[in-house]
Amino acid sequence: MNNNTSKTIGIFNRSDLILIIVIIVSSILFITLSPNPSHSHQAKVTIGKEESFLIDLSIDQIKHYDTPHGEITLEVINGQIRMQKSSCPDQLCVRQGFLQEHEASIVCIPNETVIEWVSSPQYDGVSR
Amino acid sequence: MQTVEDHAFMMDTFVTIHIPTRNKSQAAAAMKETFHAMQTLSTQLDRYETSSVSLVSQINQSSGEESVSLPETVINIFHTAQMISEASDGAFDLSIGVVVDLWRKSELTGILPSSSAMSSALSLVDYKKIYMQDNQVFLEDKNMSLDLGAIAKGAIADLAKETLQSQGIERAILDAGGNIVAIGSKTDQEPWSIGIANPNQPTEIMGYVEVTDLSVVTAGIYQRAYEINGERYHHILSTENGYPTSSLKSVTILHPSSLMADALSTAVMVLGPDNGLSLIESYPGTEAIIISADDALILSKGAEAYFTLLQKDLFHEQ
Repeated sequence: MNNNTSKTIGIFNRSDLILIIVIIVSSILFITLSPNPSHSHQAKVTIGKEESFLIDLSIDQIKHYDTPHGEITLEVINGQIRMQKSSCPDQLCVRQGFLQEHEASIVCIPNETVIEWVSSPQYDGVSR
Repeated sequence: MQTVEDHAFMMDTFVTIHIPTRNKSQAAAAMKETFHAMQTLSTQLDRYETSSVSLVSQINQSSGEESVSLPETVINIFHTAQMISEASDGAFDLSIGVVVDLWRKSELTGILPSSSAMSSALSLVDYKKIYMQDNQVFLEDKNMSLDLGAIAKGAIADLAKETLQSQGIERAILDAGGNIVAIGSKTDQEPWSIGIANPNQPTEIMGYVEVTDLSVVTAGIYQRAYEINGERYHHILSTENGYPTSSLKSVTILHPSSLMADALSTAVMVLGPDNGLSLIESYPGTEAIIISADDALILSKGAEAYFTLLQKDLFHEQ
């Protein structure tokens, strides 16, 4: 006679099933929410009308920039980029979080800043 | 078309090989053989490797006493290096080892090299005292010391290209810590596109070159450095005074040989813009993209055909 008080379904008891479900859900969340550096190794940042440059997403970094109307701080971590801080009043760009694969850009209208994916890995290598 | 990519750590850097191919097993086998060949040459050229497999170590230990026999692949590297030393009137010089050692020692002690120690070290820097006959190399003065840090990655990258091509690889990109070797073109219609780092913000791309079958090598003041008392002294040293060079921020060279590109990039950093450009123009098929200390962009005559400047507001064309 089995002294274990938990219910048994097939060869698994309830604890086993809960553990299996947790593992499956965690795996799905990890795959879907993890940064995906293979999307692009670079992002294009445009500030104001003139300044436009590429940022290497393979290197974790925090960068501060003066804009025509204030200042911004970009954070690159694990192949993703976000507006970490901005002097803008509405903070929409900061609240958007990391630029997701399905999103075209992060736009900060008050600071005239656009962060966008380089649509495909633009360079085959970087000489440095 | 699939891609086979793998990397290895050597020469204190990551080396990545990227092969677009329809034959993955052929590419993987070629890559394995290439990494093995690179690792062997890397050890032979490493002066800090004390075992007998380091040929440069053997030459240094035998300075002023006896010559050392070198295999053909290595003696050819020395011939190229000596050619650039002569052409640059010693701005590029393999015998800078004692000066490098002085800076490494300063990094440990936190005390800058004294002028007397620097003078003494510079007295041992003279490429004309590196003698080569047949496959033998001999350093005339005892305590002379070779340092191949300025060309080792280039030499090893050339060997990688040769090995990959001998295995039937027609298209590939090799990235040896920023020394890029483009083998063939990306596709039949498309060249390889290589970004060039902004020397003021090396994680940004200041522009790019489109190349087929060329090496793209950059020397810059933002790369390795000696940290002494919180101050940063970059690693490209003048053979004139032993101190870090100051007139240029970065030099990118395009050349079919990565070894040549590596040696020329250092030579131009030391020579400065005018003499540096003259040196580049004396080698047909060689192009240079130079950023001066005041952020002027200086291009060799044919570089425009390859290079596109992206950060136009940060660098002014000269």
